[in-house]
Amino acid sequence: MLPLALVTGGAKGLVITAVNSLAAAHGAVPGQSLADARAAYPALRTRPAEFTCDVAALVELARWAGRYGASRNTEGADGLWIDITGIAHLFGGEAALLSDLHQRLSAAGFSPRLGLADTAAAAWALARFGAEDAITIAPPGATKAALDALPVEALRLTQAAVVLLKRLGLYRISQLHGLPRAALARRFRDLGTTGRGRTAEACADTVVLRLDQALGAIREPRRPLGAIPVRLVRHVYTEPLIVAAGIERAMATAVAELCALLEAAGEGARQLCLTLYRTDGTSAEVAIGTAGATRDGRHLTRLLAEKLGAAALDLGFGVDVVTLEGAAVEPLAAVQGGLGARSNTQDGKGEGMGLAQLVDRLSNRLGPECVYRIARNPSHIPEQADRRIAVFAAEASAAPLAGRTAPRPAFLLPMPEPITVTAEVPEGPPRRFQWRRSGHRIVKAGGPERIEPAWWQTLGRTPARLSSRPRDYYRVEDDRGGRYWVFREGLYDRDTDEGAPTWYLHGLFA
Amino acid sequence: MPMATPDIMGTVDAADTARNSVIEGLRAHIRRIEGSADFAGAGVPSGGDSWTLGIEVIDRLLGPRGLEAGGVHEIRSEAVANGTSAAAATASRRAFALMLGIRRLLVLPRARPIVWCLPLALLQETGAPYSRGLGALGLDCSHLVLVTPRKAQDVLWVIEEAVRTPSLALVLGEVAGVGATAARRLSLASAGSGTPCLLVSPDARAPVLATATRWRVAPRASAADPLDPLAPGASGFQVALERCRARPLVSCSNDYAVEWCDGARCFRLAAPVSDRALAPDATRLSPPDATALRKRTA
Repeated sequence: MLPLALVTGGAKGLVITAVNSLAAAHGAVPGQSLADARAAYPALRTRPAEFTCDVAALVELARWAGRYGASRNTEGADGLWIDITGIAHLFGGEAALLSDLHQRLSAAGFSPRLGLADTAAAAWALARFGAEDAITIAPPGATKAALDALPVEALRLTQAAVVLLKRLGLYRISQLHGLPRAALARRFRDLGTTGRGRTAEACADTVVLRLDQALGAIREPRRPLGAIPVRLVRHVYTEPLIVAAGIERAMATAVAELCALLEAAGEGARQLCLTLYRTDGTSAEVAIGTAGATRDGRHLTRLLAEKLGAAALDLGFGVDVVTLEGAAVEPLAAVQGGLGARSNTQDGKGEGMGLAQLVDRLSNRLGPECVYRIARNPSHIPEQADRRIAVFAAEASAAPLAGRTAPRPAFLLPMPEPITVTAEVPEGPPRRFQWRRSGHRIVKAGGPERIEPAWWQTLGRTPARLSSRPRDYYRVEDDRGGRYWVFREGLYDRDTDEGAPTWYLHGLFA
Repeated sequence: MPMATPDIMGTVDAADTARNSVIEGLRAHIRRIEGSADFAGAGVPSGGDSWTLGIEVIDRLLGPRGLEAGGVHEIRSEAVANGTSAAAATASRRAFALMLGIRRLLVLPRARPIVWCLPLALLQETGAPYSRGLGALGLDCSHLVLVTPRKAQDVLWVIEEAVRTPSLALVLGEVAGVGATAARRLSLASAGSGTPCLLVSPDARAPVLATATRWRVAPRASAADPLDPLAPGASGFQVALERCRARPLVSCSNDYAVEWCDGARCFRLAAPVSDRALAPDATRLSPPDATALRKRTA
């Protein structure tokens, strides 16, 4: 190992953003300019800092940390938090969990500092400002005592607030307890922002708020990485799984177990997430969704297997932990199992079930936006008359617009395509038109049907928004039997700044 | 496949009778294995639940059971050489398939979904289904499940997955260049599940596939609108049945001008075009006229 520093471009030349332990021993510190560090130690090696890669790596580490608790996320640029409420006993206690975590992180090349406390804020403080050894645990109920010895920086305050506290002679958190809260609150609320909303900076200024968060007097909700599973199955393997067949077997076991859990609770899964934790500290995720609640193990296994096959996962040095999370579940009434039920679920012969399973498979492979139904939208603008809905969405009974409309084409182009038109009379139907580089001679034409834009579109009308012009639609048929829906946008007699009317082709009749 | 021919000989000896009865028995056995009905007897499809076009002269070609529910039906277009725009040809092909779907929904005792696999590129090029227009044809869009795969290699997978699903009314797949193996797979899947599959493919010259039927469809001048003689009326197609597995075709020169009747949800033969300018060649005439023309030239 050599002294190494990561540098990035600053206002006055290169600035060090991170150093390794050897470089730190030679006096290099983050924030120092590279010229200064090189003056002290000319042999310092540098590499450019890659911040986006750092963030991605931290998120990856947070995903991996899911093996300790499903509720976890990144904290700042260099931290992670894991909520291990009700989980520690699985690892043999809090100390055993932390030492396991420390050992694995060290093996992966990190030099971690771990803190564990009743509140997230206190754990933050203990991890960063705790004792010299890397693991600090505040026993339950002893958070206040554990925090007392820490400096005021441990409360996650802004630099200005820290400076002000120190100027007042307040160096330790213990010194804050005795102060009158009202005065403290008033003093630090006025600092910095003028108190419009609780922005992050405003929070960081309010010493009282930070203190209450650390002591647990105020809850501090956190957003976990990914949805918190409702039902969870977790399998640990003493020997890592290194072949795909083993993974599939493990997955099938986990699915069967999860389905049993769901059945006992009278629920069906809508979203499942299979996470494979590799021995080298990385993880891979496979997520599926279903169109309706289901606990059909065979179906779910098939969906997951298709995703696994498509993902072509790299198993690396093997997978030692497999978790299957039911991220979203819905109530699902029990179904009578019996003579007929087996064949129903196995072959998907139940009437709606066959379609539901098909839609699940299609939307998991193609993406849920690729499988849909069409519903009517109550609008007279042709391109807004349809909308896409999920296959099993309840269809809002859109009342048909009053009155009988003129015929509509069976197929509508996504965007009206401009055509060049020769018409006999300016306001009449086209005689010929040119579309996609081929000419069409019109032999029959019906119309026009005038469709006015919605009145609110005409309010802020500018020449740039020509779409707010009325349209005259014609049904035309060319000499080869092709039937088209064309329209002229704009009128000839209106002498405005909108320019000449333009023709478009909008749809094809059957 | 040989057809069972009625005994036209007036007098046969006993040996021949015995041999004929053995052959008849073997043929019946083969038919049982193939699961097809007795197609020796000519006639229109019997029973109200067979899936047909609703035109007697075409239904007669299909045999007594109409369109096979457990089979793949291919719909192709005429070559675009005669100047028909590709989009219009696609629209007519697709519309014909949808109309067959409407006919299928009519014979089903309960409404079942139609799965339509429409590649995204094709949707953007030739338009998305429009509920009001399809509603006018007689198709309720709530029965229509659209699948729009982005990648070409997903299209056949989608169609096969859908065809394997029972409890669908129909699978409509728009795909070009289906190979013989893929067509065979789809046929087997369809026979297994009883879900018919309509393959709508743009190329008329692609290799012949082992499908239950193959149709060639082209746009055709519409009838005049009864309310407005200058406007286009009911949708017209030029339809030819090129292949029929259940009842091999006697002659390949069947070419019919058909129209879709919105209200009755059935096809009907179009009246001959009165305006000769609209009928550029003899193949565009309706069959009676075509045969008359042929007789005259012979």
